[in-house]
Amino acid sequence: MSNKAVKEKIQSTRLFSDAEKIALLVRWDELLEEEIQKLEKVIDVYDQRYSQLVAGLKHEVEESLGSLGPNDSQELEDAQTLIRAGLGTLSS
Amino acid sequence: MVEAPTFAPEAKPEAKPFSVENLRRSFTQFTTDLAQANADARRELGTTAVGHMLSGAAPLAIGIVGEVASDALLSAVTSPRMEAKVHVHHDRDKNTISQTKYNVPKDSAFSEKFPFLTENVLETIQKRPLLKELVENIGITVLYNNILAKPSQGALPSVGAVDLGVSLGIDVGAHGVHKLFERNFSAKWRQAIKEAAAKNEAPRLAKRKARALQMGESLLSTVNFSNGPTILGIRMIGEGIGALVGNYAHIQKSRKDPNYVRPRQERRYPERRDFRKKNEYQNGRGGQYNRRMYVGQGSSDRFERRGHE
Repeated sequence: MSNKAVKEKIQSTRLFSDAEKIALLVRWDELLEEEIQKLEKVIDVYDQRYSQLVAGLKHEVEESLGSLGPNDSQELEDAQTLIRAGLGTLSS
Repeated sequence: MVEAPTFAPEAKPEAKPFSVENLRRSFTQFTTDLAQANADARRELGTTAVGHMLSGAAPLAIGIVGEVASDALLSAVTSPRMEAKVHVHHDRDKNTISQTKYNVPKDSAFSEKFPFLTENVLETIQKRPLLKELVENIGITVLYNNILAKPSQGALPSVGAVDLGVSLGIDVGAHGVHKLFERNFSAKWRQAIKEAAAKNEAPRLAKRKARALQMGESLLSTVNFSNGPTILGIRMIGEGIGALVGNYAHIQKSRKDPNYVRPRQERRYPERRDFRKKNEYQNGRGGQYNRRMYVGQGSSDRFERRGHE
């Protein structure tokens, strides 16, 4: 895979903070090919794990929210809205 | 009459009864798992150059090589203050290195982690919590390798050093660097060091350190341990450890306090008399310094003024 693709992975991954991404990309030329490959592999594994965790959480929360009906109290509806918003943030 | 078949109502997935507690548990579990995944990934990268870039740590140098390195390290880490002054006690006539032994309780976990360290160094490190923390947390390992000394003088093979992280050490001369890499490292290392050495031959003592440093910088760009550890640089004897420990203290402070600003470095020789004042003191009396210094050097104001005093 080309360096450009790996850089794009770095930019999109949730593994690193913005500052860390900058530090990596600024010193990109110092990395050897094998280090880049390892980095890419680690990012792939992490991103996959992240997706699985988000999917699992989403499933559990949806399951739980499914029992709420329109006649439930206002507080529960507020909670539902809040949690859905949180899920949206997590999975975006 | 044909009876119409009856169908059971379609089964819907059972929704769990809503519970804020369950939801909270789900989120907690999610964040825990995510943190674990993050930690695992960072551990994978920890000993690589990427790991060090992420940690923001200054490139740490180092390779303990040469005849005085062991004592330098020992002196550095046993100094009363962690901003260690390095006193090298190397008797060149006798070719001996003085070392001091300390009675410190052994920390078996720590010694197992760094099996290649001599007991002296191990005990010394344990005695200094800051250095121990430094070694453990920043991923620095100490390459204690006095390979130029004879075995009877405490020379050690560098076994194990390659398997560990960034090495902390000292370079004390090109010769030591040569020997280290010739004896203990792979062909890739040796090639890199030879190429660096070829550019600068037969240096005098003053040049040796610069040459060793140059080699270290060359290694930076050319050499990388295949199994993770990377040497990121080479610092001078004394300055390396002093800077390392000093920097680490500031790093720790800045982690605790985001507003922490590292103070400007103090003057190296605060006790030294100001140079200009010294000259004025010597020249202002119209003695030999005055004449020698100003005769034939033009008519500066100072000369005119002083010449008529």
